[in-house]
Amino acid sequence: MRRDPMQTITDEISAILADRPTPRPRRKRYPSDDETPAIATRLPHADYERLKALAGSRPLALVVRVILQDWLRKHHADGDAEIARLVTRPIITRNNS
Amino acid sequence: MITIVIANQKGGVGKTTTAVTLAHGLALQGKGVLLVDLDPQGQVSTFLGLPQESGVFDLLVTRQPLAAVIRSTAIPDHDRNGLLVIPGNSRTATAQIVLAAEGFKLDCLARALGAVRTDYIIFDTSPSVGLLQEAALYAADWLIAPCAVDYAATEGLTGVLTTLQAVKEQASNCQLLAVLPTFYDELTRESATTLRQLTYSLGDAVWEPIHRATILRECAAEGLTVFEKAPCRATQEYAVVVEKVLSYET
Repeated sequence: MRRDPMQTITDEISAILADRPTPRPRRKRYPSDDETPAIATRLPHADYERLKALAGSRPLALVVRVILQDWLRKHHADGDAEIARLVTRPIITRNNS
Repeated sequence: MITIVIANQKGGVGKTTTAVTLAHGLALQGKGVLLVDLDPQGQVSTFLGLPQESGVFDLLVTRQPLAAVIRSTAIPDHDRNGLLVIPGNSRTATAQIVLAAEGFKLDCLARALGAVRTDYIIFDTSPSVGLLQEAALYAADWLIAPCAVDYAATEGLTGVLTTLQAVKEQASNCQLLAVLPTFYDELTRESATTLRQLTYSLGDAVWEPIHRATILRECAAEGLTVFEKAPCRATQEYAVVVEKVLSYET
């Protein structure tokens, strides 16, 4: 019969679960399906489709940045300078309402 | 400042991968992060493509100042702004012996790092019960426990949760932030069963799993994080972890 180690420390688990941190109320930070991230204007369509497939609906911010940097290094004549310019400002449209 | 300890008493569950990837992900989001390698294997440096050094030993035993043991993680062609490291090596094991001989104090790490002013401190720990793991749990605000979805790793998880509860009874404020299932493979019954057992016991403390991925091993070999290596499912899964951690910031 399969054992479950977690069943041996139920008292500890109860105490630990009773004292967990709480996430702050989250503002909407990611574009919905009908919003277009600004990055879409910078990437070829195929790359943007790949990005969307990778990222799903969220979280886009970090994945977008990673993919953008990867793409710029491969395709931009002065990729590093372009990255430095881009990463100092938001790279996707965010709806903070 | 938020201090996070990455711990599980079972080895090979993805602790160092999680520590390094989370630290870099937070840095990419504009946070200042200090990554501290408390594992005598010293592989935080390896994973970042840096040389192993006795930073933890020098900080805790020879009492060198922070400025002398903190290293930049910069490498050419990659953005690691904001990510700093205190490296470790085999001398970290010696540090534990010396600390024990000198009369180990649970707050030794908290005191040694008291002057750090980064947004986050992240401890990578060794896969064992030890003084430094206890000190890290004592110093931390949150515990993230990577747990490969198999029986042995779950047993290691019970070890670290038991230690956490014992340390909390010594006036530590450390809270369980998450159990992070790793090496998940939806094609195997073992993965699914173990994940179900974890979720049954720990509820929403269990986060979305990180799938088994060859690219994560390639990252270690190349000294790159998955955010630097190539966009892939692991990038997305760890991005979720980064975002979830940020969502708990106050």
